[in-house]
Amino acid sequence: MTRRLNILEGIQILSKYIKKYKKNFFMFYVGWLFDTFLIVLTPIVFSIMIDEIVYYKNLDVFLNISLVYVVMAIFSCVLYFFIYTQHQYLMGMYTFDIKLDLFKKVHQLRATYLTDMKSGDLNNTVLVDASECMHFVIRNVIHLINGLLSGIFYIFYIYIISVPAGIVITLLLPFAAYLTFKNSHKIRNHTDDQRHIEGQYVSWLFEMIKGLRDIRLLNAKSTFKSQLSSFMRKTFKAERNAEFSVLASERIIEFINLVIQLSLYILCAYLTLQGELTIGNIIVLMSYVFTLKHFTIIRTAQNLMDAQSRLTKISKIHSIHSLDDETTWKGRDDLQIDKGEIKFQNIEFKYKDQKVLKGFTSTIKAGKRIALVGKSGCGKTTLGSLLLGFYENYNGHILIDDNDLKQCNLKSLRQQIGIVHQDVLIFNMSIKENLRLSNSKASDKVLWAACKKAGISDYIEQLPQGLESVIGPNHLQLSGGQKQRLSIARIYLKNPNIIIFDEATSALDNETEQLILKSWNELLINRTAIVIAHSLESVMCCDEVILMENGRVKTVGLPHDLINESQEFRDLFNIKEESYIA
Amino acid sequence: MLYKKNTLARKYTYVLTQKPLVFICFVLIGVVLFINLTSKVLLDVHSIHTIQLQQFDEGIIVRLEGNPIIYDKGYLYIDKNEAVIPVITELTKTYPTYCYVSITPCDPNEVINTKWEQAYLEVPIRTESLFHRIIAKGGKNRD
Repeated sequence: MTRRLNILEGIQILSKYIKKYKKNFFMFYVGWLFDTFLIVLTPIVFSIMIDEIVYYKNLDVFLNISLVYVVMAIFSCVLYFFIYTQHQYLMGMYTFDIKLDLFKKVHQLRATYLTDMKSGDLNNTVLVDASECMHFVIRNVIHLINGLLSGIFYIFYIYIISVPAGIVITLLLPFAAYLTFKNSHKIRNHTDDQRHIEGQYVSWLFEMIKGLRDIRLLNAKSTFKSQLSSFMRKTFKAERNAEFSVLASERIIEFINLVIQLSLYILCAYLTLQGELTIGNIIVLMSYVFTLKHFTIIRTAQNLMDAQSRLTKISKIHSIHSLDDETTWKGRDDLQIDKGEIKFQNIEFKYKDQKVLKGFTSTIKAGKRIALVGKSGCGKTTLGSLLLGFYENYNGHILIDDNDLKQCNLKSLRQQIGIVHQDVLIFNMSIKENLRLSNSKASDKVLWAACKKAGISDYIEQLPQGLESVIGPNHLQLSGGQKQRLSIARIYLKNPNIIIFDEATSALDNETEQLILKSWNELLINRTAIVIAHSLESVMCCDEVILMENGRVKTVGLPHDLINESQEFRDLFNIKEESYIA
Repeated sequence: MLYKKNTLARKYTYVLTQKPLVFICFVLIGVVLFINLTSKVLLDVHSIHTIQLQQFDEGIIVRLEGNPIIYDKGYLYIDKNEAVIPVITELTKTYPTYCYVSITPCDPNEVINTKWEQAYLEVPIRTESLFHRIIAKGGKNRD
């Protein structure tokens, strides 16, 4: 849950980014201030021109003032161009810094938070919310200050032109401001509700479309149809409420402003009859009252409402920055692996309140291929995550060649331990770029050697663009087996001493799995491997099996021995008695 | 390369965003320009006198209280928003607290109705700059 911030807190959070561009923000503000000053004075210039030509037929003065106006208008245009350049620069650089910081933070976040976070929310925060920080500073701070300043200017000049008009405005304006703010708040609440319901609806629709195949297979079309109707009804109701609220509130605001305008019209008419005001003065008064109403009160109210919603987004960014990250990992030593022996000593670990590992103790000898098997949720993948340093808050010790994992730095740890997942992360870029993710300095020759060892070089060679072939929609489409081979090629390029295979072959058909398992043989020479698997074929090619149950070691043995001796092992892989006797 | 590098645009953005002096100087030029231009345009400041028109052989004579400095022009009207007649003014007689001024329409075809019971004569008493008129007086042409 994100905390509600006030405007000052928002500025304080963003100050470290603002400071870097303070001169640009200053220039932007000075430019706007001068432009605001010119805008405030324009009606007065017009009023003088009108009075001079209408009453005094003074064409010379009229033309002279026109010339001044034209020169200042051209200046204002150029100034606006410069201000816009500052705006674009700030929009790019300042937002870029916020996004970059967020990106760095997300990359350093502890694994616990990453599993809890919704990727959609995170996307939104990095892409949209970061831009809102810029809008907050420009629209909700700079324009708010300028809007209030120009409001003060307007009231000041209304008093200079006519004290009675100033008094009328001073008396009625707070009333109008109060009603405008109150109604704007009401409108915002209704539109927030509408947006919230629409967000839920869009999210549901997205999930529904994503799972369209499953819905068909489940024959749940009618359930989803009724859910769709329910969502549409809710959306329609929220829309109707919001529209009615907007309409009613806008009319109330308009009515109040009309009363103010009418009072002022009557006063102006009276003062004009008394000879106190000229046509020019009336134009200035009307223009100022309209601007006060429209640009100062209504826009300030909207600004403050927008500021609230933007502050929520800033608060979201702030809360991500406040989360613990991997920079607090205490280990500083470089992990030195000579042989690759791994010792788990009484490992205890829990996710929130759920205890996953309950005193896991085992030793994996150097250069051996060990299968970690057990029912889902017994802690196999968690052990892999602990080895890669994703979690620090476990009890017990993990020793790699007698180096305590907690004493080693994460960079060296992840450099020397490789992982092959079921879902291979392939980006929409060339094969070469995808391979170089694990070794950015690898030459083409090294890349080809890795591909050859992984058994994918023949396929790449027949592609017209070879390693430069781009993977992705509308480009090259890779099968599950080819992706696995690319993943193995990456491991060759990274050259770690220890490799974890986490359900690496579970999505492959038998034939492809056999081919991939063959390619492992060469890869695993002189390397220690932990194979987390649900497939018997993957387990059978290991030197030893650790059968886990409820976060502990249940049995350890050779794969063939376990088939013969362990009922749990047989149950796990659904091995019938006659088949293993055979 | 998908696009051609625009060196001039890059230089422009660099100068404008990285050299605050250029931007500040430009704004200062604007301020100076505004002050300079508005100071050079001079406008008349008028004083309004309630008058009674009197027809003599020499022409139309009006009595003005307070001995204002009389230039050679003025504006005569009953209702300013209806019709304003530009007139040539000439000081005829001066007394300690008042003076007599003769008025003649600038346009010879214009006829002044001397039966007007109460009229107003606006006479320029001095000049002021447009800058002063805008900033200090909000566009008003009277003190």
